[in-house]
Amino acid sequence: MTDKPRVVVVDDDDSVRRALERLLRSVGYDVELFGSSRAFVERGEYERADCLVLDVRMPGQSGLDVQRLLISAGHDVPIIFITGHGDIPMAAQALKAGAVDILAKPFDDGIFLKAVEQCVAKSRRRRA
Amino acid sequence: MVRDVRGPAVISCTEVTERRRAELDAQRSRQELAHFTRVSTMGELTASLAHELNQPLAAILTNARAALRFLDAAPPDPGELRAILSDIVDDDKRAGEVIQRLRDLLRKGEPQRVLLDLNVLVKDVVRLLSSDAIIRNVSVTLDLAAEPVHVHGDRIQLQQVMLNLLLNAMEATAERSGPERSVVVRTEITTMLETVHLAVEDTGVGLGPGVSELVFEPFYTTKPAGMGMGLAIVRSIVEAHGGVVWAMQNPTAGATFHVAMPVRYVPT
Repeated sequence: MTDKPRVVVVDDDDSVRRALERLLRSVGYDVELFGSSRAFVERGEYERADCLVLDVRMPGQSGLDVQRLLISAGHDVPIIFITGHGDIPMAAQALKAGAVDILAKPFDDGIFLKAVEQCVAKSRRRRA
Repeated sequence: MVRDVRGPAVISCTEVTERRRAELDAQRSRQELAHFTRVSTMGELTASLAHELNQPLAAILTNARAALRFLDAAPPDPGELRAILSDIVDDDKRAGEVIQRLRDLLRKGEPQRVLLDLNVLVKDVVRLLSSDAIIRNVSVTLDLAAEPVHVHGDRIQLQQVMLNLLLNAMEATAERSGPERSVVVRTEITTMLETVHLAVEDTGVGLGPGVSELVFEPFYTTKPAGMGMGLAIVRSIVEAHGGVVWAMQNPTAGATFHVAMPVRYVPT
């Protein structure tokens, strides 16, 4: 095993963000947090992430906007969407555009961590 | 441009008496109707409220699961666990506050006039609608008077006024595509007229010609699913508080809805 896989979480809710950071860290991931799509997009360096966890609805750019932006810029980072709404058409759209999974809050930690594993496996395969 | 906030200049005494009597007769049914609209407004807000509750619930669950995993580590870090538990407590309170705000809004009862700061009331309602604004991709900005804006009124009814005006503005704004999707809420005290002034300015579709008077009429609606009662309720509540409402088309885009009510001075 090389270095720890890096998971990036973008969510505008402070508490949700902190909780996800702890959960991911408890199983040994490197975690990076952003409070808005804008902060994440402005930082760039998308390829450093093995898995991107995006909240769907955020003030300003939504998670879907970020997905579109990454695709159009040719960055293929595996994405998990998390959402506080049961928005089916949106979920279909996100999955069609290549998202690994979409989870409705509140979600089970096992399901979430499994999706993260899938993302990491996907991005490692691509890099190998 | 500026309409006289005291309404039409000429009113005969008979008209005033008749209006007063009609007002008293209508008070009961107005309360019923106001409650009914509040309940149906809640229906519109379900998605928003689900989101408001889902956030703390998600954080609580994830934090608890993380704590369980940290406990399995040897040795567990007490600092980490303490931070988690403290976040769980905060999120539980946060969910409780959402329920409390809902209860406040849905409470049925006789109107009670108390001293209120309109600024606080505006902030409460904007908070209640914050997820709704995100869903509709509308930014809500507050431009409130620096000093407390005191009025004598019923908190629930005036919350309803604010809720209806804000929902109306957000709906109108969400209908329009484009980058400028904002709603501004302003409060100020107009000392000369001894009134408080509340304005809700949107960048929405605006009012058609001749519509600014019609929008406050019961059953007037441009929305397919609308009941046409939201702004009629606003007017009836504001008038019952001795105030007036009016709407104006903005020079650039959208419309502004105004409320003027008697100011209540608080002895210092």
